[in-house]
Amino acid sequence: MLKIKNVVAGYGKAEVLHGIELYVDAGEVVALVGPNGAGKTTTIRCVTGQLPIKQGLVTYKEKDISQIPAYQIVNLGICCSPEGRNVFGNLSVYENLKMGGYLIHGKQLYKEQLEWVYSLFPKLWERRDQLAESLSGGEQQMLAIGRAIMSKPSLLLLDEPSLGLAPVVVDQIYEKIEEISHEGASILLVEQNVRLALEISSRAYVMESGQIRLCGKSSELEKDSYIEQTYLGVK
Amino acid sequence: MNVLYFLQQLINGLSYGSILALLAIGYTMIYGILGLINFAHGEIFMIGAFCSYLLVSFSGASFWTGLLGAVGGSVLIGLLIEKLVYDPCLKKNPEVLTVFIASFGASLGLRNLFVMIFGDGRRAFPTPEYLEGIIITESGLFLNVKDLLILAVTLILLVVVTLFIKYSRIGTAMRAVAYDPTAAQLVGVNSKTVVLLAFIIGSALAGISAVSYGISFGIVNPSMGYLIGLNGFIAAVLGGIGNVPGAAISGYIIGLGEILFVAFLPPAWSAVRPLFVWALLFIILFIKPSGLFRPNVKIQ
Repeated sequence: MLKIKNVVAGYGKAEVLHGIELYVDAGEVVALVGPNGAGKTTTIRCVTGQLPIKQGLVTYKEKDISQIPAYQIVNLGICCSPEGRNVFGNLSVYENLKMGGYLIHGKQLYKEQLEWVYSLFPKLWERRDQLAESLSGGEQQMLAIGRAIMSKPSLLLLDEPSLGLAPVVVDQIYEKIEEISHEGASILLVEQNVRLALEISSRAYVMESGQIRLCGKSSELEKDSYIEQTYLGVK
Repeated sequence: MNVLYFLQQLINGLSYGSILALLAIGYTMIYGILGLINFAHGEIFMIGAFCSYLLVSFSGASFWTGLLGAVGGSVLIGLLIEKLVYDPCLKKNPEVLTVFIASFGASLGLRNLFVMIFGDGRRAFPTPEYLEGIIITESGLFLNVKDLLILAVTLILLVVVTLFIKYSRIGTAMRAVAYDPTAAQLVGVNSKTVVLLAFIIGSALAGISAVSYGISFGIVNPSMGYLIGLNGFIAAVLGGIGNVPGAAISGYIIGLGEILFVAFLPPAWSAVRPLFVWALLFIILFIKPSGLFRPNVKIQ
């Protein structure tokens, strides 16, 4: 579904991605893991059209999407829950979800999506009239994911959904991510928490300094000695 | 102090406050969405007044056609400023200072262009006779028909704009862009559309405000937008930047405050009228820098 081929990108003169190869097939959960500053978020930004690529190709359903502006990417069925949550703090929870369904045509679909999000995250229903700013970190993360899935994306990009959250909350959120994947969406999950990411995904890429260092089945990567030593703290 | 005098001044203040409220919305919307102070907003206001003046005085158009002309002229000039000044400026060099200076430049340039064409003298704004009427109530209160019209039209517009911002799809998108343009993009909002819409709404309201000013004070001149524009901007700051109802309410606070301030001081003091606004701004910024109401932008 999503293919990233030999992508080079960066900010100004600084090159961050030095030729990335990555793909996500339909229905898959793929993890992209690695340390801070490896270029994971930059990779996401190349897919969402927020950052122009200097070289290479980003295709979605066999179509080149690297020239499409960010605000049109949702129309293709790709939606992103950005790093640091970025909910609209000045809007209510409901209005945030309404913004998630900004491009939905048809009231019926909009209603269905809204009901689905509320059933997935009952907390959001309870707090629907509250300003998003007043939510806890975990609730904001739920809202960010809820907002992203409002548009019924076939590819969901999740950037660090566990960032800054208590372990209990992280577990809850990961359960929901699994549920979303069972509904049929493909997911590209960017995560620093390697153990979690490998548990939930079928395949994974390990990124270091703007390059893919390793890739393969998550179950196999979990046993890889380099990953065990570097990321899982096994001695 | 008698009650009648107070009520009389209250009505004057509400009429003047209406003019400021409509003007303040343009400042607050554009600041909220683009993060820039559109100093040329006062000139958008002035050009609206001139459009109406020229249509009515020279082509014999009716007052209402003149009003439409003012709205059209203001919107056109607002969009031109966005297209020719802010858009290239933000694309090339999105630094605060650059845009700030460009904004000043647009303001000065337009004002002086109009001085060159029309001279800086005051011209009589054509007000139709039926608006010059006065209703005298039983208690002896003098009500100007034009003041009542200004107040009624403004209140209707404020309600419409507030509902639009609060409940419409694109109105919600405007607030979302003001808070986080990047996240708004990710859900499919074209920020360009939102920016243009802010300029259209803000400028249209400035045009209506300008005609209100014209019939209220009876004059137009190229520098008419300068001082009142500053007042409108201060109202936007007081209202919590980006907060549309806040800006409108603050417009009324300033309008009423200024009129009552002068009304209850000895006549010799009337020259210090602008002092009221600046003192108010100073006090409020000192006590509550984010304004009286909740700003609609992300506070870093």
